[in-house]
Amino acid sequence: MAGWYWEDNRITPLELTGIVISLVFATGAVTLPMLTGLIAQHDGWLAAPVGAAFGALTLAVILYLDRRFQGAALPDYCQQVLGTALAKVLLFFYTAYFLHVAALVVRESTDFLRAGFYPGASPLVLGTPLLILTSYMVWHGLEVIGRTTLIVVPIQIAFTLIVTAATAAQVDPELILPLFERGALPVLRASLIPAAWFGEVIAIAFFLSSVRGQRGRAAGAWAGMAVVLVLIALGGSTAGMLFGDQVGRLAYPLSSVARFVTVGGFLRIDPLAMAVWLFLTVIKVAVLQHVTTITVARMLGLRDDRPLAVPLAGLILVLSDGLFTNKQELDAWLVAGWPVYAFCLQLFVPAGLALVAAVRGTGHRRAGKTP
Amino acid sequence: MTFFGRLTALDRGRSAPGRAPLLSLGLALLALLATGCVQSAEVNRLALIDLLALDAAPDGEILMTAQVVMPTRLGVGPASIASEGAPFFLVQAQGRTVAEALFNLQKRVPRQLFLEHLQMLIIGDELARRGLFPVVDFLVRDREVRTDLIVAVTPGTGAALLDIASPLPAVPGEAWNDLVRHERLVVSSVRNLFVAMGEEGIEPVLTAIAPSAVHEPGGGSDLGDMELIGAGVLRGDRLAGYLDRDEALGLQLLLNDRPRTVISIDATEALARLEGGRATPEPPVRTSGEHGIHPRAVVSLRLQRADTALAPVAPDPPTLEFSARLVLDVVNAATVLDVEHPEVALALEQAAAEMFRGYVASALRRMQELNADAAGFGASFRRSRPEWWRAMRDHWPDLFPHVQLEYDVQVAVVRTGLGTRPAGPVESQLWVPRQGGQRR
Repeated sequence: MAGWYWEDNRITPLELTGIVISLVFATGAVTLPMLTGLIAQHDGWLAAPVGAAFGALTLAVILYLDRRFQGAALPDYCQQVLGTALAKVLLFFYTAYFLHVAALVVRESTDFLRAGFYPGASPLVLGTPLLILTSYMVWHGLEVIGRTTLIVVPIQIAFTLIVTAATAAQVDPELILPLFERGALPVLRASLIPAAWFGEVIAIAFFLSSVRGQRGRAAGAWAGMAVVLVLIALGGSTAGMLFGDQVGRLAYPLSSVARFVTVGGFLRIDPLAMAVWLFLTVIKVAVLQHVTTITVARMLGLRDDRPLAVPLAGLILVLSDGLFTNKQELDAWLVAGWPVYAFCLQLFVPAGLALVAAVRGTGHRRAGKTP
Repeated sequence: MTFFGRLTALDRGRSAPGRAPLLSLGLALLALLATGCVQSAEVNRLALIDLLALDAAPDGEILMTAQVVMPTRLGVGPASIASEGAPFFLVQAQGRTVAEALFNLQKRVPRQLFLEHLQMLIIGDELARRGLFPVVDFLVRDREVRTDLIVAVTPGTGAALLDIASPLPAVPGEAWNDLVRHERLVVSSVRNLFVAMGEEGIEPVLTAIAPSAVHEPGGGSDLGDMELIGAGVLRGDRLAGYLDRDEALGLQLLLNDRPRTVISIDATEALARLEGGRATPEPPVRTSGEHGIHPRAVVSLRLQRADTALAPVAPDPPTLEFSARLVLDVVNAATVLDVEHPEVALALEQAAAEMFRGYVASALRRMQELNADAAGFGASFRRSRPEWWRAMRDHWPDLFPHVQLEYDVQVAVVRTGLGTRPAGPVESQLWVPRQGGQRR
């Protein structure tokens, strides 16, 4: 069935690792410590490992479906499991979800740029070049996105480690003690937010069959999750050890961490941190835009999804500016509404698909294209 | 084909080597655009603020005084007129908040005020006693203010300090910043203040500075400069009082804040610890054929490293163990004591430990007088006995005056600089353990 459509490029497991890191860390790097700090104060960094468990569960379901429906992606096997009509409904929901997430990511990036660097710039001016770039990547397919991660992700990882190491002399481990000071409940409540972030790994279900080697792609995805967990826990604990209970009162704690580091005592590196983080955001938006084009094309039965890239970019740009009137509204929604909504499409729907497939015996060891 | 060439030529397997460099260039330019470089500020359109002072103004307002650098008087630029007067000017404005005062200040300066190079923020006594959280909120929220900006308090007004044209540096801010950071007599930054305000069981502390007198040679006019006088201790967000330099050193030891100091030990203190207390201090005397020597009997030691910790021992009364491992060097031996001798070094270590205990005890006494727990005794209980703290946190202001310390101070005098025995006395004048003092 996949052959009838335009076939996507193929990527390596290493590139998949980069994509998983970008999907979770792009937004998690900047705002997560603030959101978890608002709920759990200095214990906020503990929310990341708990939230990662949810992401791990999501990934396990995705990989189970990938093994069950070899060579097929979620848009393919949901038709086998649910039938064409129900599958189209499901794909419609996923289209809305990925558009929404992409718009949120663009909004977060423009908010961050305006708060820290260009207070008077129009969000459309800031968002347009980003989406031109992602549209170019989406037009050329997954391979370009994958290869870009090979450049960007190592830089981001190295930069995070360097910034963390550079602040080592100033961190005060006592500021994150005692652990679970207000009990486990605030940590569990806070963990809903990173859980929704880790759950964004669901996007790979839409192109996992385009990753070379079944065992390799599972390993690549797990490796990506592990790296993100380490980076987020490291960044969150560093922010906690620098700002203690006040970490939730900083809009962008990791950017504030970067503001501690100067080169030669005078050159601030936080603009560099902003640029590096923006590269990661470009990849995340490109992946989400790519997945949205795939889903819309499959839903509408289009042979080629590429012409959808630019119109969807326009839609993402408009939504990013229009969904929320201000940052307070966005933050409130991320804390209160986002996790519940995200969990449905990140875990419950794929888990439901897996359950139905298992009960109906659909797709088990199906003969098909072997990657 | 290069990696970038292949990256841009993946269009369904059709390679387009001719287009690749052009596309790569276009994408690189797009990446520049993606950072949204708008609203650039040329350096010749900026008014660089070196020092900023905030004082209390009538009707609850804030008086902001800014020291704005004049680069032309620093010998920078083609129209340089170096050495004609102070290389800065002062400008003032008032507002109900710091942001409003800054906005009003901008109306009086024909260039864009630029805070990124701000070296120090000085807060006047009256404003500090009024409450500082609105100031801290601005400092944390503003994108130009550095998190490591030094925030100091002065017993007078901040504006008076900014009026000083420091004689050594052209622009005083950087030098004052260096002085605070290098001398390390309580270093308070925006981050320290922000964190301490949000932490339970610890009160914020500020570097305290004041104008000092620096005279021209021959009894000339007072040039004026700044000096470190200790620390200002807050209760909540309000200034409760000041710690002098010795008390501030004690506070730094309690906070494990890497203090730097030189202490001077009376040789009699060291002698009292030698030979089981039997050694008697005898003044250096002149014997026949020997020159007289300086009568002062003092050894100065520089604190090189300090590693301290507080650990709660008992809750009623709140008792904590203060443990310190201090490393010192002999930097001046103005005595006949043979500082090279291990037993003398041991005696000096014991005397130094006693002196540091005194600094800590005096800091504790002063903080208890002010009822301001700037050392974080409460925070120590909170971290090691969280259940006890939950029950007692509301009573901590009543408990804090009863806090007691148990001391475990260990001092190591590890080096004697580039010298060995005291430079002045002849061999027979040196006091060497078990050999007695002079005339041995």
